[in-house]
Amino acid sequence: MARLNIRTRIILLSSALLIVILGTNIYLTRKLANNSATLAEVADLIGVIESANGARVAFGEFRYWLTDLAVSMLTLSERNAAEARSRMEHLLHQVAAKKPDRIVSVRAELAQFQKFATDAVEEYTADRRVMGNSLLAQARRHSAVVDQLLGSIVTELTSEAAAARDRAVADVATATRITQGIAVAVVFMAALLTFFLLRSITLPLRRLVVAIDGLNAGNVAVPIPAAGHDEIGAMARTLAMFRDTLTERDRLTAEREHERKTLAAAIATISDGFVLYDADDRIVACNERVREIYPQRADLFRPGTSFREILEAAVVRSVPDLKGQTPKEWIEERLRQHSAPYSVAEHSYRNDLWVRVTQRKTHDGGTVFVYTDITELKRRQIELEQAREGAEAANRTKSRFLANMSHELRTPLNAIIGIAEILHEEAQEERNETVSEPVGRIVRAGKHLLMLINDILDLSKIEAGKLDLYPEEIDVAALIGELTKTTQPMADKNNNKLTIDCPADIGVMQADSTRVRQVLLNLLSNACKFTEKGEIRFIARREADRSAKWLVFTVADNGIGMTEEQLGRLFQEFSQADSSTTRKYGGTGLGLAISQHLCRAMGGEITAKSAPGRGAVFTVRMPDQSLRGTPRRDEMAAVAADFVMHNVPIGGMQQRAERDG
Amino acid sequence: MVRILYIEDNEDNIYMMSRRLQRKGHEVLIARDGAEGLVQAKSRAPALILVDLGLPVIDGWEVTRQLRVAPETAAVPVIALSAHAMPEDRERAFAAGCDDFIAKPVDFPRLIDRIDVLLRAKSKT
Repeated sequence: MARLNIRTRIILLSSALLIVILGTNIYLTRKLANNSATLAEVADLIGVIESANGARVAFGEFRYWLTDLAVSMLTLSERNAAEARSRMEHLLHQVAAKKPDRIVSVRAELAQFQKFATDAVEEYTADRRVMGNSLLAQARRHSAVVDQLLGSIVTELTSEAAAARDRAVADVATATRITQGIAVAVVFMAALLTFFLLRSITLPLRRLVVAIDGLNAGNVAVPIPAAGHDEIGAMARTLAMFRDTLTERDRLTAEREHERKTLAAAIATISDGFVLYDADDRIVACNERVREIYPQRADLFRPGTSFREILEAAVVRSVPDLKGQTPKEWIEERLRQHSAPYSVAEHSYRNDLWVRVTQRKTHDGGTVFVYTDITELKRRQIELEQAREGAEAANRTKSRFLANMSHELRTPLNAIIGIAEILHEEAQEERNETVSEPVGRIVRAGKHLLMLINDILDLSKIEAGKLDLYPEEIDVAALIGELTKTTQPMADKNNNKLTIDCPADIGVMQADSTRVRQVLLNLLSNACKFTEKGEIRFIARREADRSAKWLVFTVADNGIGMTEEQLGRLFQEFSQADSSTTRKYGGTGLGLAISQHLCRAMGGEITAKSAPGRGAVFTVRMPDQSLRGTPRRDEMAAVAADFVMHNVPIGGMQQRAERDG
Repeated sequence: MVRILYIEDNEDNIYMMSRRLQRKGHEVLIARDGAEGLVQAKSRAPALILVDLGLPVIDGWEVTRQLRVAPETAAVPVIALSAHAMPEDRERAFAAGCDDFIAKPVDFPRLIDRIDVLLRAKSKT
């Protein structure tokens, strides 16, 4: 039903009723036509009956006049008989239309009668009475048959007419009954259809009304009847759409509310002050924290207050550091900053309050302000700054002190060593052992002191990150040869054999040759010092790994060796095994520490392996391209950080074309 | 024998150095401050000048610069002898025009070696 729209439904209903009524009408019309035909037939039959009766009467007259003629022989009788005969013939003709067969019989009998009667008349005329009587008697028998036939025809016709009439009556009765039945059926059907039609309209309408009422009451869960193809279906669809819109709106509202609450919670939770201004620079939202940061203006941080009011109150109540501006200028500058899409500024207020103000424009022209209390941060920054300045000053003082100390020590040392050397030379020339021996001690002690001063200066330069490196191309084989030449006398002193193992094609490396020489010489001289009647092997090799190409120098001896504990502090300052070692073997105890730092500054590393009495193996690994081009500041930094107690910038590693000689 | 001017304010060093140089057969002129050193350098035509850097009146760097400017001393080799052993000190010395730099305490054989080298180089030109 719902497939059709309501107009179609009503048209269909009316059409159905009209068709039924029309059908009934046609039926009745046809019944009536039938009836009138029947009635016409009846009337026809009645006419024929009358004709049959007329024919009987006419036959009676005909018989009479014939009989009379036989008796009277009158012309009148003959005329009358002929007239009756023709009348009868006319009537029989009419009846013959209905009962032709019977009329044929009647005519045959009538002809017989007429013949015998006429013959009787003839006989009577001829006055043969007996003959006449006999013929008449025969005529009478035929006349009786004619009478009887005519009578039976009348009876038949009468009963036929009655039957037709009865049929017509019955037909009318049937038609009446059927019509009544149809009427009842039509009424019933019309009522039923109307009921269904109305039901098909009102039921969904009622559901729709319930749904509308539900929606009006705010209940979006109310069921909306399934959409049909009719007008109500369209209404239901519209309503469903409306409901969906409503649901969506509710969902969005709920979402927005949830977001708002989350945001509000977040704003309330953050440890910074938060203020949101709208496009008209009036506060939309702010949190408690901002009131805590600015207690003097706590009453102003509420929705509706304008940014300018906040600034004006700031000048009067919070008393910011205006940095030389008038309050008006300060406010104007803040307002100017405010128009920028993003800005960060730090403001200080009375009571040492420091606040970092971060502001950012929102997409709708509003502004978000975040106020961070950085008082503690500032305090630490200042402390840190002071500490740094202190450290720098201390370091400068230290450097100056070292430079001065170096200078002040060197000047007298120059005289001490120089004069001691003169005396030593002169005593030796005079072969005066009693003088030359102790003066030699003075010379050696003076030189030892000089070494110490030099080493301490080196170390302090490394500590201060002021170690300068001058990378240059070094012919490794040549370097080894030169070092061997320098080391040979030291090796000879303790009757050590010095062996060199260096491939001829070892090539060149890029490094500070003075420092490389210093490192290797330190290791070689150590080996010579701590070995007696042994062997010192000096090996140079190339190695490569993923990160770089390396030059690996190994200095191995079979001297006194070291304990595990001595190995552990080998590269620390003043770490010779004990003071007696220093006395016996000389050296400052700074050499390995300096060598390790130099090596690291050039991107390399010194490692040592040893056991007491089993000699020592020192290995130096250096990148073959150390410090090519720009100095490797990070390595210097690592060295300095590793070594330095002060927080001092590392400098002085600039490349210099000039080399010290 | 070479005439060497030694500009130095420390008496111990003057004593030590002049004795050692004289022992090597050199004639040693002594100036005890920068101004006097300049005067002697111009008036007495030394073959080589040894200059301390931390000098009174005019410091060694300035003395060297002036020596290099003056035509009569411009070609005389100058060796800085200094207790200012920091790299920046030696760089300043080279920048001022010194031909060599030897930190105190002076490695005497090395000094003699340098003197010979510089004088040989000068005599060639």
